Parts: sequence; C-alpha cells; structure tokens
Amino acid sequence: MKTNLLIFALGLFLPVFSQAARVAVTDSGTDFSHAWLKSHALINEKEIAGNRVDDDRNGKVDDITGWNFVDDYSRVFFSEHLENINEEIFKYFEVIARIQGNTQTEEDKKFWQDNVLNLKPEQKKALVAQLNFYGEYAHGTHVSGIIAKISPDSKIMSARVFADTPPEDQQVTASGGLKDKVTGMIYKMLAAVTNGTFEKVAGYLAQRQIDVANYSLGISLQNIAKLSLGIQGIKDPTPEQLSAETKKLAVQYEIAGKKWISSSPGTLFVIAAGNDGLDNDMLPTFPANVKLPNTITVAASQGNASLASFSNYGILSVDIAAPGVAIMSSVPSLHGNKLLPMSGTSMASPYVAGVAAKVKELNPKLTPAELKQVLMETVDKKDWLKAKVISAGVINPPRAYVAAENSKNMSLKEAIQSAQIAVKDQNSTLMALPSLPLNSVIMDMKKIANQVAL
Amino acid sequence: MIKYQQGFTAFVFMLLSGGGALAQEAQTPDDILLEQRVSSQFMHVQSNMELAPQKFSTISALQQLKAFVGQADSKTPKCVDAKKTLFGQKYVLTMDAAGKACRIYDLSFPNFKALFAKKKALQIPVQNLTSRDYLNWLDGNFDQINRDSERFKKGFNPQVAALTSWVSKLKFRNNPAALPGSQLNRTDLGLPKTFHASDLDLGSQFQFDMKTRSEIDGLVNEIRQLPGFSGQDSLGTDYMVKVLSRPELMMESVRFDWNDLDKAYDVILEGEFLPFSGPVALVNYQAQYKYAVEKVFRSILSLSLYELARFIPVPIVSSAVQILVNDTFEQVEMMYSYQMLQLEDTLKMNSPNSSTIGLDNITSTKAVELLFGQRSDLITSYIMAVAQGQVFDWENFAKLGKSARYSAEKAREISVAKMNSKLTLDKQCQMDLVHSYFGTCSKAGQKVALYSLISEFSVFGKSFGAPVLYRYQRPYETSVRRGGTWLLSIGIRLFGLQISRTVVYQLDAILKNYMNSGLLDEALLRNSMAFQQKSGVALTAENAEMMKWLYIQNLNPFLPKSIESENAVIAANKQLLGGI
Repeated sequence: MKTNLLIFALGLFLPVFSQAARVAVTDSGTDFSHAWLKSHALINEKEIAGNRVDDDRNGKVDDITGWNFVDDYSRVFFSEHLENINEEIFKYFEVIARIQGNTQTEEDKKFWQDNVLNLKPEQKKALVAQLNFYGEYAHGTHVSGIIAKISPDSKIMSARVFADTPPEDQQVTASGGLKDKVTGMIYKMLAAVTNGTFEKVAGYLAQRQIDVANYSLGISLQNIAKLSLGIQGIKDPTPEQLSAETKKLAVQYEIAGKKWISSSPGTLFVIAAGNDGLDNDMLPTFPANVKLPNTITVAASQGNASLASFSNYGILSVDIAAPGVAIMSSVPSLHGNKLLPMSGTSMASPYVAGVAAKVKELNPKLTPAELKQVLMETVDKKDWLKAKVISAGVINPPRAYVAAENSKNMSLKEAIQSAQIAVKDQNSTLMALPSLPLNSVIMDMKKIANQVAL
Repeated sequence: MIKYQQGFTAFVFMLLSGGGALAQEAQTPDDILLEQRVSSQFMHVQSNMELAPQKFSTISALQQLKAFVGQADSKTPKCVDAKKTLFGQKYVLTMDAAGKACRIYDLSFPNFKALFAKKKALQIPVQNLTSRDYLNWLDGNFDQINRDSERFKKGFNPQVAALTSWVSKLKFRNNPAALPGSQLNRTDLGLPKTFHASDLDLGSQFQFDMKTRSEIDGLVNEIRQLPGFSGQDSLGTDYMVKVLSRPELMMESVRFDWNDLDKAYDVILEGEFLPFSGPVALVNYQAQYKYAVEKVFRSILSLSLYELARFIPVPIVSSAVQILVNDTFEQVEMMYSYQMLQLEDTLKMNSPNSSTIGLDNITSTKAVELLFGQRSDLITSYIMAVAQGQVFDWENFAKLGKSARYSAEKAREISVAKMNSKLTLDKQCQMDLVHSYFGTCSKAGQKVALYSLISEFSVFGKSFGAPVLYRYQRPYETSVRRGGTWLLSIGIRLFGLQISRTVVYQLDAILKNYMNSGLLDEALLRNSMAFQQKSGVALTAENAEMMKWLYIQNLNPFLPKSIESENAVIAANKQLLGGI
C-alpha cells in the first residue's frame, strides 16, 4: 500500500521521469496563444516554421501545430476573427453554464429576462448567430484547455475538421440568407463525415504517433436519415421509415468509422456520446457508436452526482461518464487568457482524454486497449449509471493513475485491483442539487449551447 | 436554372460547336492517339459531365434580372458625382455634394472614346491543324508546332488554301474580292481579302422573331426606366436593345482582314462593338450590385447571340460566329477582372496608419471588399435568389464582399504555401517570394523563371503546378505559348478533328485553362511593379524588361500593349471625365 502511494506520488509530482503523451484534438481548431495552452503545443520538429516548404514531405506544408483538414492548410486557428467578437457574449456563456448546472442566481434570471426573453425576434436571431459563432470558434480551444489542465505534461496538436466561417457569414445565416446550408453545424459535420476528412485525419494521427485523440463531435444518424429521406422526396417520414433509414445508415457508418479508426491503431479515440439526452443504443450517433478496442465513448455527468440531463447514454454503446457540466476552460479572446464555463459531452470527452494522456505518460507501454481498460475498470461505480453506460461509472482519475503506475510492475489486472483498494471513490456532494424547471426560451438557449458543444 | 457565368457560356459553346464543320474524313492514327491520350488522362470526368445544356431563354433571363433590379433599386441610395479625387495615378474617386463616396473610375480602362476603335480581337489561321499539332502541344513541343506553322507559311499556296481550308466552306451573300492568285477561276471565291461577318450568309434565323423581339424591347425598356439605372448608372441598355433587336448589328462591326505575314485572318472589331462608350466605374459604393448586374446583362447578350448563331445554316459560318461571340465576351470579362485586380492591388497599398494612395482607410477597405464581392459567385447567386423570390436584404448583400474577400485571400495564402513548396521540392528551385503572391525560381544562383503562386494550372482536377509567367532567359516564351494555344483552341472549335465531341470539349478546356492560367494574376504583379515605379523606386533593367513583356503577353485585345498606350488611355479618360 505504501509502495503504491509512493509510486502514485512520483507519477503525479515528478513528471520529468515520464514521457509527454501526444494528444490530438479533432475539432474546430485550437488557439495555442492562450495562456493555458502556450506550452502545450505538440510541435512537429521536422518542419521549419513559416518557410512555406513541406520539409518532412508528408504532403502538408508547415504543419507545425497540426493541420486544417478543411482548407488543407497549416493554420488551424484564425485569430483575425477575435476583432469581430463582441465580448459581451461571454456573459451569456457564464449564465447558460449556471443554468445548466442548476446554480443560477437571481441576477442571472434578471439578465436572462432582460437580454434574452425581452429581445425582439430579429435581435434574438442576431444573438443566436453570435453565440453559435463563438461557441464553435471557441470549442476546440476549450476542449484543448481541459486536456491541458488535466494532463499538464501532455502535448497537443490540432486537427481542424470544421470549416472556418467568419462571423459575418454567421450573420447572413441568422437572417435566413444564402449560406445556412453551408454554415449550419449539422452540415459542417455531415461534410466532414462524408468527404473523407476523418479518414485523412486518422492517417495523420498515425503518422504523428498520437497516443490519444479527442473527438468532441458527432452527429445523430437520425438527423442524417431525415436529410436522406428528404432527398428521396419523403418530407414527413413515419417513425418506421425513419427507424429503418437510421438502421441502414448505422451499418454503413459503422463500417466507414471502423475503417478510419483502425488506420491509427496506436491511438485511443475518445469520443463524445452526444447531447440529445437520448439512448445511443436505440438512436445511434456517429462516431460515438463505432465500437473498437481503441475507442471509448463518453457521457457527461454533473460532477459525479448524476448524469447530465442533456447527455446521451447507452448500455451497449457508451463506455464511461465524466464531468461535463459548467466546465471552466480556455477560450479565445484578444487578451489570450479568458476562461469560460461550457457544458456538454464535448467537455466530458476531453476530461477522459486528459486522464488517458496522463495514464499513458505514467506507463507509456500501455496499448490503447489497455488504456481503455484502465479507465473503464477504475471508475466510481454509480447506481444511476448501471443502465446507462457500460462501465456503470464516472471516471476516477487518481485511481486510474495508481493503476497505471502499478502496471509497470505487475499485471494490468493486478494493478487495477490494487488501485481499486488504494483509492476511494471521489466526493459526491453535488448529488443533492435540485433540478429547476426551465422555460422554453431557456431550453432554446440550451439547444444552442448543445449544438455548439456536443 | 441558368447560371450567368463565363464558365457556363464557354461550356455551352464547347458542347455545341465541338466536332466542327470540316471533319468529314476517316480517323488517322494521330486522331486515334489524340483521343486516347486525352481520354486516358481525363477520362474520370466524363461520367460527371452534363452533356445536354439547357436551352437559353433571353426572355426569362431578362425577367429575372428585372425582378432583381426592381427590388434592389428601390432600396439603393442615389449618388451624384460632385467632387473628383485622383488617386493611385490612374483612378478617380467621386463623391456627392455631401462628401459621400459614389464611384471609383478606372482611367486605364479602355473604351471607344479612349483608344478602343478598331481592335484586333483574334486571329484565325488558314492552316489546317491536325491531331499531330495537338499531340505536340500535349507533349509541350511548341517548337515543333512553330516549325510546322513556319513550313506551312513558306510553302503557302493561296489556291490550295482556298480549296482546302475552312474558308472554302464559307458562304457569302455576295462574294467579296479575292486575294490575288487565290482563285482557280474568276467565279471562284478564293481567299477573300477582307469581309465583314455580316457579309456571310447568316440565314434568316439570326434574329429573334417579332413577338420575342417585342417582349425583349418591353423588358429592357422597363429595366431602363428604373430610376437607379439612368444617368451615371446606366447599363448601356441602348446598345443592348439595338443588338437584340438586330443581331446583325454586331456582325457589321466585325471585320476579317487577310494577314499575309501570318497567313491568317485578323478579326477586327470596329465601331461600338460593346457598350463601353465612356470611362468605366469599377466600384459603385451605393449601387453595389451594379457590376454584377452589368455582367448578367452582358451574359444575356452573349448567350442570346450564341443561341441565335446556332441557327445559321452554313455550319462553318455558324461555328465562326459562335467563336467570335464566345471569345470576345470571354475577353471582355477577363478585361474587367484584370482591371479590378489592378485596382485591388492599388487600394491595398493603403494601410490603417498611412494613406499611401490618398484615400482614407475606410473608403479603400470598402472598395476592396466590393471588388472581391463582385468577382465572386456569391453576388450572382444572390441576384438569382432575389430574382426567384427572396427578399432583397441590403445589409446581407453588403456583407457578401467582406466574406468573399476573406475566402479569396485565404485561398491565395494557402496556394502560395503549396506552390512554393512544390517548386522547392519538385523542381529544386531556390525560391524568393516577390510582390506578395509571386515567386522567383533560381537555380545555381541564376534566376530561371517567375511563377504565380496563387494559381495552379489544373485540368479537371489534375494539377500541373504553378504557372510560369516569365522566363528570364526566354522572355517571349509565355507570349508565344499563349498565342499558339489560342490558335489551337480556335482551330479545334472551327475545323474539328476526327475525334469524339467529348474529347474535343476536353481538349479545348485544357487549351483554354492553359492559355489563361496565371494571366489574371499578372495584373497584381504588373500593378505592384508599376506602383513601385511611380512611387519613385526605379525598376531594375531585368524588371523593366519583364514589365514590357507583361503588357505584350496579355493577349486580351482590348487592353493596352505598352505603358505608353496605357498612359494615352489614362490621359483620354481624364479629359472625358472633365479633367481631373
């Protein structure tokens, strides 16, 4: 026991002995100039920055901190948009997070009344456009910040898979203009899914020897089924038609997903379950429902007290839960040090990815499947998750770290067993928080937040 | 839905005129080889090609345009030029009496009153091109093409040419005078010395029927009477009405002159061939859609004429008129783009902290956005959407330019990196980036060529890398290659070969892409060098030579071919604008 604790302490406080885990954030781009992320960029040493030559001849010019797979370009983050962001919207994110965490104040209620409920329809549209823009713009940076905070030694690269849409384009969308189909998140996701982007990303992850890849993204196959039926001329499908189409798509998408995930066998793919509050076993989400030894799908919990109301789940398809409500992390701003709370399985997934990275650092010999085993078998078991996720528990980072450290000297099974004895379940004081009723507009705002933070 | 774009015009053209009038004989081994070469290289696109173009309807196009102009016009603030400010040495910003920016005139934009009369638009050789010439081109063997051309000229026999070339298939209303020695007998056509396109037998259907003509007149008149499109914002509708009422009018302005040196016909545009009767405003701060609307107007005109030309009964005459309409209008659009790029480059010399060109930053930034917007497809799509019922939203419309600029500049940045890397790694060039978007390739310490890094010569998705704009050891090369390629492009459309129409289409697209790749980028390079020079920094001898060739190798018939002639246009336009 004492040995275990000593090893645990070494693992936590003497990172100099460990090898930094290589993490990829497949998302909307990471702002590596943020104070939280400055020292976290996984630099491609084989490239000479800014010389406009593909020095490592991997087909990507100046891929220093990652790659923008949409534009086929080295820039993963577009700081020029910061000038066009009205920082007053930060307040909305703070209030939304408190609503989602059921911790809103009287002041929040008044703010909501004055600044949301009392707005004219066109003002509301403009606000939605701003929130949508910033939510998507900040998403990758927020996700990266969570990983950096949980795994301080890890190095992160950005794989941008969402198109860079300037704020003015969002305004056009909000006003019902021309480009809604191009800029809408669902279409962006669909584009990434269908045009081979994920396949390319996976190939790149393998090339860059990425240990852990976070995918805080996904799309409900039911949504794609609706689009598909619409294209076939079926505008209002019956539930049976929708279900049949969804099942058909699920088979196709699973084959495709397995193909690209298998192309990077050395990487653990950590994937968000989705924010529709639905059962992924019944209504699959992509890529969350792709099951392989090197994938782990994450539901969001409110601390370790309850499953977040928005979180998807699935006793056959979702592996683990992790905190995903009102998670404070880095977001882009002119001063480069802004933090904001956001909620979603998008936030729960990097929580798990961060822990996985640290586990990998503690024992670099662990394979992706073993990393997954450590995470799954060291959870805090919860009754409220028994019918919701495969592991029936919420992630317990300290226990996972002890298991990882111990696994260097004993079998993985023994290491996990010893960690289960050595480390207690985490504090569960959040369990007692009441759930306040939300009015419909607040629900709309939740949808916005969910849309941008799957 | 009809798309009013240059590409569409060209596409329709190719489909309709490919496999031209002379191709009646059996396939030669070269024909088969050419077919195989083009098909194997670009076969993958065939299945995606739309082979049945929709019929163009002048009436419905005009109705849609009217719907847009009607909506937009009612929401457009009017602006009357009261004050003029010269900037960038060749542009004039006008403002109304209250100091609101109205327009930017481009003094270097040629028009009929300044330089334009009698321009050689293109040249059509009487040499019968064969598949071997195209195979040589595909192999990059320009020298062989030139040698064959020279051999043809040396051994030129006017009687043989009159009997075997495309000219032998022409049909005139009244035979024009023949080139001496080209006739077999006194009644034979021979090689005409000179003739107008209107002398050809255009048949009775090269015009709209009375009912259509009357509808067109009515629609154009309605558009013309919209208050925003009178006076300074006139769309040249007078010319439009005249040509649509009597398409032969345009043919009367086109003359074919025998060029004995080149053994070809020079095609000369006379008189008011198109509606450019005075100084051209490239930016309209208030009626921001004006350029796009004018472009749609020009497309309607060209597509209408093109459609009519299909009904000309003599195939070779039909093909010739189609080439004439297509290439001329294509060159007009290229001229606009070229001039707008030069203006963009000048406006971007301004920085937020210093007014290098004498304009405030807000005015110049807005103009840059408008220039990007009007060159993009976004505005054309917007016009179509409004024409089909969407409500015109001025705020959204104004944002399109900013959005277009963002996308275009990002695309350029991406391209610069990609092309620079390819040249460095694949061609072992020592690259130096110059004038923002261009790169000089040196080898063993010697400059070899200057490339545009913001373009990629690609055909149906197959990339051939960055286009060479200038070779330091062979300055004439780009000019020769472009000129030769244009001739081959005209040739394949006019004469046809014993190859399939699909291959004809593909081959012509390859030729056109090659001919135009990097051409518009040269506007940015030329302007940047000129601005540097005008700012008092003398060009090196090497750059001065390159500058000279940049004028020459732009084959656009409407644009000045030297600094001196450009200066003459500027001076003439200054006068036309009432002196600056």
